[in-house]
Amino acid sequence: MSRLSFFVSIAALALAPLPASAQSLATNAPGGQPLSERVVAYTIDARLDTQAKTLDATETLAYKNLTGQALDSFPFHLYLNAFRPQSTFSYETHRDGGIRATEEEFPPQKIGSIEIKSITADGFGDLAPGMKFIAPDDDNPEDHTVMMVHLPHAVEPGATVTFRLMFHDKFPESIARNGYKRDFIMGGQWFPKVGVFWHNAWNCHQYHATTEFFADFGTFDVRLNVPQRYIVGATGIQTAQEQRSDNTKTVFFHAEDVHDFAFAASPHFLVADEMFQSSMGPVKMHALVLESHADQRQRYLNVLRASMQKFDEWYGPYPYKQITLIDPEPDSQMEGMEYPTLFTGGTSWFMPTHVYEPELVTEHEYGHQYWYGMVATNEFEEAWLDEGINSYTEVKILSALYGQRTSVANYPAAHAGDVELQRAEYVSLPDYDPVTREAWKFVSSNSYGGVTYGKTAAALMTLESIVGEETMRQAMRTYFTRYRFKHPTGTDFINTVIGITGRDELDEFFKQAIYGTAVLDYAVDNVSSEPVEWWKPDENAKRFRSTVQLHRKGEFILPVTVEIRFDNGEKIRETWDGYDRWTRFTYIKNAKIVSAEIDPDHRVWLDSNLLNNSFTASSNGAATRKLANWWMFTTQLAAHWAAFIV
Amino acid sequence: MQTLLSQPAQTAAPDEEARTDTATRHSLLLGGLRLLLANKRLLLWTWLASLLCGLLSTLPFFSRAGSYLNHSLAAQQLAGPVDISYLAELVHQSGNHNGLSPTPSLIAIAVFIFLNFLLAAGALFVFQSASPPRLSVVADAGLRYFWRFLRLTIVATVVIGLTVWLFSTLRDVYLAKAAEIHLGRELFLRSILSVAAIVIVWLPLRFYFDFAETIVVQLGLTGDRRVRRSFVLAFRFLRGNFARAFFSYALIATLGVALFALCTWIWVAAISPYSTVIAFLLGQLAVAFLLASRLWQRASLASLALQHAATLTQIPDVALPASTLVSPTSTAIEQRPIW
Repeated sequence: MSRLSFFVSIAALALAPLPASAQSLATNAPGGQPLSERVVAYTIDARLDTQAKTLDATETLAYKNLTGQALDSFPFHLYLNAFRPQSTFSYETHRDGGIRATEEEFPPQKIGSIEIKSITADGFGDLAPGMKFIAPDDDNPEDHTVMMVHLPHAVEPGATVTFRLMFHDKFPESIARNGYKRDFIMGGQWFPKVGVFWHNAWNCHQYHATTEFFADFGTFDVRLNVPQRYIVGATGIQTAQEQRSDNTKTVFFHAEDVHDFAFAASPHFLVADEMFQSSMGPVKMHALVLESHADQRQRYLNVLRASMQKFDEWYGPYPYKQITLIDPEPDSQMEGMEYPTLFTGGTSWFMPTHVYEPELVTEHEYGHQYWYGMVATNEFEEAWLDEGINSYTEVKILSALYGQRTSVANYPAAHAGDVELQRAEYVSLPDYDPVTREAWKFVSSNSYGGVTYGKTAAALMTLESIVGEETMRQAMRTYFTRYRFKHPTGTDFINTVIGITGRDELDEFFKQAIYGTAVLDYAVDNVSSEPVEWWKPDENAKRFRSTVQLHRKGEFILPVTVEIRFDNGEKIRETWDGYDRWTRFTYIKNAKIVSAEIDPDHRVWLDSNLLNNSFTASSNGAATRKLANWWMFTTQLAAHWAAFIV
Repeated sequence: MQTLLSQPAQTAAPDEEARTDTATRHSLLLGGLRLLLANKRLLLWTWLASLLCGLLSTLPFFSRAGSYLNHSLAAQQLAGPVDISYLAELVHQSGNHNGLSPTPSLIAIAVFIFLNFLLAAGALFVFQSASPPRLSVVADAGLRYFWRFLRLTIVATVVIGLTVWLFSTLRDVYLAKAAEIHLGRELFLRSILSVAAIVIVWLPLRFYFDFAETIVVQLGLTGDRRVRRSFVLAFRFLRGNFARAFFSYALIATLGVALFALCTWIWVAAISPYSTVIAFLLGQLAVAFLLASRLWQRASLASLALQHAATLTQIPDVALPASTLVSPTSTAIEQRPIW
């Protein structure tokens, strides 16, 4: 048997329908049973032109109508059309600025597109005449990221309709998440993808500057033709590879119980594989790392393994047979992006071992395998359920691995923790948008980022301080187990937490923290001690009246604990319900007050000002002097260099 | 007192002009160092000016930061190893109330630049006139040469600015092309090398204008106030003596930066984060090394001008009117105030 025939045979076997009792190719599901309600089955045969950065493909989509309703129209996402100056995405990135914003003149290499060459459906004929662009979010007629296809007659409930499309992609030099950089190509959101019929309607939003994705679970069989020298990583597992005489090769991939398919191709990948034993079976950790980052292969794999271990232990098993880590091209706007069973990391050639950026990115994107990949929430409408919850678990796992206050950077002279940076991101713009706002309706991309990622993480950390770490972990595990391979909503998450904790009063917390924009800020206004007999000379005074005044400066109401310390070593903890604007605690003791501190265990991460949470009776300028020394040195240095003009 | 037109005692004899480059370098380095050490108080004045400007910018910061930190337990996160997020918190919270504004620092930098006009001219005057490095002498000379130095600085800024801008633009184009091919360490090396290329262009220009400043003072000692002449003299002299003089100039700069880097490395890596006093002393030592290297550069150029005064006088087309040919011991130092 020739090599080519051998691979073709393997591919044919891989693509053949599997008996239900067989072992799954792509998952460790017991008995090979489907893990999800497989609504869609995509088969794509694509040829990638790495010189022109284009792709031509045929796509077959078998859509099973499980909606209970007859459907005579189907929307498709055409995400690549966002990379045109007329699109809503481009307008929004231009308006908000930032790394995805393009210059005043949209450069031609930044233009991307997806063109439908033909579309038919078995039993329905040519659908091209009934095909039109729609813009359900902003009525922008030039958006072109959503296409609606009308069928001549409806698809009945329970029936399956098979669409056959031919399409042509032009990848942009990367603006966001996909495209190319040099000879690296990231195939993300690259094929026509049907919307989700959800809550009795089609849910198929336009591509926005701040939105991500939402799709139905199913299977994917993808054949990708690339030049021989290219190495390809993709969603699912590689089932075969076929060498061609034209100096190309075709790589076969198969994925199950996923809702998207992505690939990455580069001639500069180095392959690093290790195995991880999850509680559902062995998982291959498949890292494709650029040659220029060769020395960081093990660093990627180490944190991936540690993250997989923690997720398995705390929240539930990873059920797929492979996880693929792509090290993307530097400066490519493709770092840190999640796809089912595949994600992009992010590092640089110079990455000090005490700066945990690759670890943070790897952990975060792996976390999305749970909060997006399996618990497949609607990223357009409730981004906090994937990005926010994932930021919370990121904080938890990085803290466990590297320490809470050192999980981002850890040097003798300076350090930073992930939870504090998440909170800092939130407090920069805390009161414009609630967490639950649709992603494209935030006042700005900064507010979207700060609230969706930072506030959700801070809120869940604060919630954890209320219900306890173990209870919170149990709630998260229950939420994952209950809603994996489904499309839950925020209400499902909140009800799960309230159900597990058994504390209905948490509803008030969620109203403020998740649904509202109230800012939490409690402050110690002042502390004082004066002799009880204040009218006498105080040299001989032994008894003092000490007072602590607390102030609720924000609108967010949360019971708080305050710890008061006295100069005889005594500590008192008080609880204030926080309803009134202020309160005062008074003590008469043979000791003077030293300090008072709200949230002495430092767990209320929603507090928008940590500097006013405490007050000391005596002044201590050590920190001020230290910072002032830095400030002066920096100014002197700047002055010295500026004086070089003379 | 020696001038370009005088025959100073240590002026090289014609046969000494053939000395090896090494010997000349030694003489410039050591001659400059001797001049600097003989006028140590110049370094003191310069450092005090730097410290004054540092304090000018820091006192408002000290007051504002203190209002947030001095009664807060959160300050403990900054007093030792710095929790970067608390630093961000301080910046954010103070920003909400117009707190830690950089304006005082910008003003302080502007003040230092102004003082540097006086100090640079004053130092060159002291180096070349053998006057005592008293603050009054430095200030007086600084004020006397202020407008000449200002004109010279304007020309230098335009020439250096345009040159650096041009090379920076070329660098951007080059790096954009290089980024299409190279990655990671290779790209970084190209980036660093291209910065080095700009420095290599910038440093000789700065060297030239520094020498022109030196000659402006020399000419001033004879009563000649023309700045343009200093450009011509500096250019013609350096055309034949550039390499050996520039080597010393660059070596001193490198030495200053190296000592600065050593001090800051000790500060960051070897000193307890709680030791503010030692950190302050190391920081000031680092600044002092930079300032000293700059003064040493000026002193070496003054030494060069003094050593080659005879040669300079033979440069054609720069003959001065007879009325300006004065004895080095005469009252050639112009007395006319310029303000």
